[in-house]
Amino acid sequence: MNSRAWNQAWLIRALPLAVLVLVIGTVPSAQAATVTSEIQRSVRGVTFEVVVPKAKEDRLAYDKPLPLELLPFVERNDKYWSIGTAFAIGPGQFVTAGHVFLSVLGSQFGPPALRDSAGNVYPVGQVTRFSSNEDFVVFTAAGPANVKALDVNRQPVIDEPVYAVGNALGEGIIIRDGLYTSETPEQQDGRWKWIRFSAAASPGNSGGPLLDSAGRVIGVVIGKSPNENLNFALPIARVLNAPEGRATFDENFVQKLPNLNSTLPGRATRQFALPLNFPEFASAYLKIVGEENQKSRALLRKTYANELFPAGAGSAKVLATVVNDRFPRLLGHDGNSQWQAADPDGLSGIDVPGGVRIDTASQYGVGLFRMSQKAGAGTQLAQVDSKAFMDLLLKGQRVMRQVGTDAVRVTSLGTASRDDINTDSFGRQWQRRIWPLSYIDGFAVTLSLAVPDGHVGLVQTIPAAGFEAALENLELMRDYFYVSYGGTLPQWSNFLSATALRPTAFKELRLKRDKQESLEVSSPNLSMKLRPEALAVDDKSNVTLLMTFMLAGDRLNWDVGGVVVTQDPDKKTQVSVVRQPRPSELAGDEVTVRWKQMVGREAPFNSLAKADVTENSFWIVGIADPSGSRASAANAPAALYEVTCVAERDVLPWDLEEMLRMTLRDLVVTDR
Amino acid sequence: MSQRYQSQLCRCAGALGLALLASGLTIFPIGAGASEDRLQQLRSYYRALRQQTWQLYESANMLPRDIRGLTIADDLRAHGLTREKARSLDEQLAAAESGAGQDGEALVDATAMAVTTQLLGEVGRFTEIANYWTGSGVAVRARDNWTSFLKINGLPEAQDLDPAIPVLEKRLLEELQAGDFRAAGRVSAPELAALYGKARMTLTRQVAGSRSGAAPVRDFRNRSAPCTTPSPQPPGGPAYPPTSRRLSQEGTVVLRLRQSPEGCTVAAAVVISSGYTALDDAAVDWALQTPADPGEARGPGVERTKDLAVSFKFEDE
Repeated sequence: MNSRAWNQAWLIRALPLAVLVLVIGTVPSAQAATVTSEIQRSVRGVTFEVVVPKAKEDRLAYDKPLPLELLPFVERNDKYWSIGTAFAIGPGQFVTAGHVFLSVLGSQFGPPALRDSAGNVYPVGQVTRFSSNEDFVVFTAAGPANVKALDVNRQPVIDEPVYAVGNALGEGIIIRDGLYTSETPEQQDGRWKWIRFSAAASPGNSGGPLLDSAGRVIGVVIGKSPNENLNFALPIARVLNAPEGRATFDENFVQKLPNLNSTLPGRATRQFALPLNFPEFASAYLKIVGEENQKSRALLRKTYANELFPAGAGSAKVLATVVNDRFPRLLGHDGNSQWQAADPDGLSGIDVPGGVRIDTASQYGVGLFRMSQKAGAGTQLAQVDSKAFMDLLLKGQRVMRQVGTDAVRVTSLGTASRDDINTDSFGRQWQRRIWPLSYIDGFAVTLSLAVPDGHVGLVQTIPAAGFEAALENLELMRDYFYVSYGGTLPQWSNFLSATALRPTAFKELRLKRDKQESLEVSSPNLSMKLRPEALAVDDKSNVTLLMTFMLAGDRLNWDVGGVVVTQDPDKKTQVSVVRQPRPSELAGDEVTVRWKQMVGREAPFNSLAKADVTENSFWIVGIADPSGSRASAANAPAALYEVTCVAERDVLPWDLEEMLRMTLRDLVVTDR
Repeated sequence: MSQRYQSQLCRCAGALGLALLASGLTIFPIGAGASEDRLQQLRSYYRALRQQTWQLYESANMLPRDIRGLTIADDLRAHGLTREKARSLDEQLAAAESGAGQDGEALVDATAMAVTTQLLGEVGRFTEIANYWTGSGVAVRARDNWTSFLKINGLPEAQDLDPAIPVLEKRLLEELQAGDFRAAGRVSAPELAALYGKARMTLTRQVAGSRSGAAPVRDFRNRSAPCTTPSPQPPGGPAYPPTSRRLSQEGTVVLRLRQSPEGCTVAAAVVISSGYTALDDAAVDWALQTPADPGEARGPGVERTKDLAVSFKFEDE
C-alpha cells in the first residue's frame, strides 16, 4: 500500500545511513530573527532526538573489510541511528511526527527511544494519541526529570518569524529561522491547513517543534516540498485537540500489482484504542495495513476480473503459445495492457566454480534468477542450504553496500531467518527464504522452485517497514511465473524422487530410460517413447518439459505443453514435441495462420525435410493429432502437436523422415 | 499469335550443376596425384551430390504430383541416394581415408575407383530423375489436365483421343515402375505431353470454328484503364504467370475481343480455355492492357468483334 508519497516514498529505497526522517536538502533562510539564548536553552532542554539502536552484529560477509574509517566520526561510533526529533508537550508526554514512528515499524533495530543532548537514552513508554494523516504521535517516555513543556501558541500569524528546531541530519538539536509564509489545505479533504514556513528543515527535523519568536510551539515539523524551501508543519492545536486514547488510520492509497497496468485507488479509515506500548502499537498498526492491503487487493482482483490472466486482452495469444525457456519470465501487461510472456530485461549470467551457472534478469521490477548445474558438476544444487544458496546467488547478482564514499560487495547473507515451503495455485512448491539485511533495515527474499538442474525464482529486497504487505504482493507473482523444466536424465531422476519440492503436476510424470535404452516420457496428456533409432540418449542428454498454462473449461491448469530432448547439450540433434492448442479468435493472426497450416499439414508442417546447408542445419516437422486420425478444419481437435526432429550434421532427407517416423510411431498425445 | 517461353524449372533444379559434376567425374584422373588429394576431391563430389539431392528434394514443395500421384521426394527416396547407398559410400570413403598416407596406396586406389564408379552411377541416375521431373510438361498429370480442359470448355468427356496416348501412358508407367527415368524423362514423358498438347490444339481449332459468334465460356471483362496513344511497336505477348511456368503449364487460349472504332480493345472474353485459369487470366489481362492498334481501326462509328488465339508454350530445348 502506498501512502502519502511526499514523506514516505523514500522508505522503499532509502539506505539507513540516511534514516533521518524528513526529506532532502537545506536552503538557508534569508530572514534573520532572534530568540534569546535563554529560550534557546529551554528549547534544547525539551527537544530530543528519536533514535533506534543499531544492529548489534553483522551477519553479512563482504569481499573486503568494510572501510568504516570513511564514515563520519559520529556515525561510526554511535550505537544508535538517529531517525527524527520529538519534544515535550507535558510532563512525561512527548510528540513527534507520525511517520518517524511508522518508519521503524517492524524494524530490525528495536523500538525507538529518546536521547538528550548528554547522550542519555529513554525508552518510549506508551503511545497515547496517533493520527496517520495528520502525521503525529503522542507518547510517554520516562524522560529526564524537570522537563517543562514549551508554551503553546495556537494562533500563529502569517509572515511572523518562525524557528524550526530539530535534529537536522543527525547533528544534534539545532535551531534555524525563517518565516511563517502561508497555509496549505490538507490534501485529502482540506480538513485543516498545514503551516508552510521557510525555515530550513533537513532530514531528521521531522517531529521537531516549530516555534514563534517568543519560543512558543506553533506546530510540529512534518516535511518539505521536494524542490523548494516551503516546509510543512502541523498546527499544534491539531495535536492538543486530538482525542486521548485513540489511533486514527486514514489513508488514501493506490493498490497495484507489479505486472498489471490497471490500478485501484482506495481509502482506508480505521481506528484502534490506545494506549499501547510500542511493540503493541506496531503490531496493531501493521495488522490494519495488512488487512487493508488484502482487502484492496481482493477488490482490485474483483474489479479487474475481466482483465486478469487468463481473461483480458492478449491472454488468448499467451494461452496459444508455448515458450521454451529455462530462464523464468513473468506473465504481465505490456504497455498497451495486453498480456504477454515477454523476455525479461537485462539477462546476464556468470559461470562460477563447481560447474554452476547463475543467470539473473528482472521484469516488472522483480528480480528473476536461475541457478543451474552442469551435468556431472561437483556442486549438488538440490542439497544446498539457505546460506550456500544465497552465497551462490550473490555471485551472479551484485549487491553493493555503500560505506561512506566506497562500496563493498556483499558476498554472504548467512543463514536465512525464515525458510519454509508454500504451494501456489498450480501446486508448485515454493521455497521461501528470508534474510535480514540490517544495513538497509530490510530483508532479502527469494521465492524459488526446484527444477531438475537447480533452482529458479524471484528475488527482491524489501524494507522492514511494510514488509509483510510487500511480501504478499511479491508472492502474488508466483502465479504468473513461467518456466521450462530441464535437466539430464540423472538430474531428472533425483528431482522426481525428492517429493517435497516436486510440483503436484509431476506426480503422474514418468521420465526414464528403459532397458532397451529408449527414453520414456509420459505425462497425462503426452506419452512418448524415443528409441535409439530415432534419437539415442545417454547421461549427457537433456530433457526439457515445456510447462505452460492451459485452460480446461474455466479452470487454468499448469501442465506439460511440450518435450524437448537434446542428445548432447553441445550439439543440435534433438526431438521436440510441442502442443499447439486450437487458438481462440482473439489469439491473433500469427497463431491463427500457424494453426491453419498445422491442420492442413502445409509447409513447414508437411513432414518434408528441410536443409539450410550454409547454416549446417537440417530438420523436419510433422504433426501428431490427439484424435488419432487426421483432422480437417471443420472437426479440428482442441490441440495438435508439432513434432520436430533436428539433425546435427549433413544427413539426407530420408534420414530425417525416418527419425520423424520413428518418433511419431511411439508418441501418444491426448487432450484433456 | 504465339509466344515462346523457356521453362524455369530447367534452370531451378540445378541440373546444370549436376552436369558439371558428372563431367568433372568423367575426366577425373584415376591413379594420378597424391591419394589424399584424390580422396578429398571424391569427398567433395560426394558432398555436392548430397547437396543437389537436398535441393531437388525441397522442390517437392513447388512441383505437383506426376501421373502416378507421386512427388519428386518419393522418387529420390526410392531411387536416388538412398540410406543404404549413402552408408556404403560413407564406409568406403572412411576406409580409404583411414588407409591414405600409409602403406595401403593400392588399397586406397582400389577403393577410390570403386567409390568413383558408384558415385558416377548415382550422379547419372540423379540427373535422369531431375530431368524427368523438371523437363517441360512432364511433371503435369497429363490425363487430369486433359479432363479439366474438356470440363472448362464445356466439351463432352468422351473424345476421340489419339490411340497412341494410352499406349504411351502405359509405357511411361512401366518405365517409371522399373526406375528407368532416362527413357521416361527423355522420350516417353515429352512425347506424351506433346500428344496431349496436340490433342488440345486440334480440339481448340475445331471448336473455335464452331463457336464463332457463340457465347464465350467466360464472360466479357471490360477495360478499366483508358486506351493509351497508339503504339508504333508491335504488341508483345502476355507475361507467363510465374506459378504456371513453375508448374510447366502450357496451352492455347482463344479470346474474343470487342474493339472500338479507334482499334482499342475495350472488352475481352475467353471463348476457349487453355484448361488453366491462370493462363486464361493472363491472356485477358494482357488483351485489356494493349494499346490501341490503328491498323485495326475501322473508322467512326464502326465497332468490331474478333477472336484471337494466345498460346503459352515453352521453347523446345
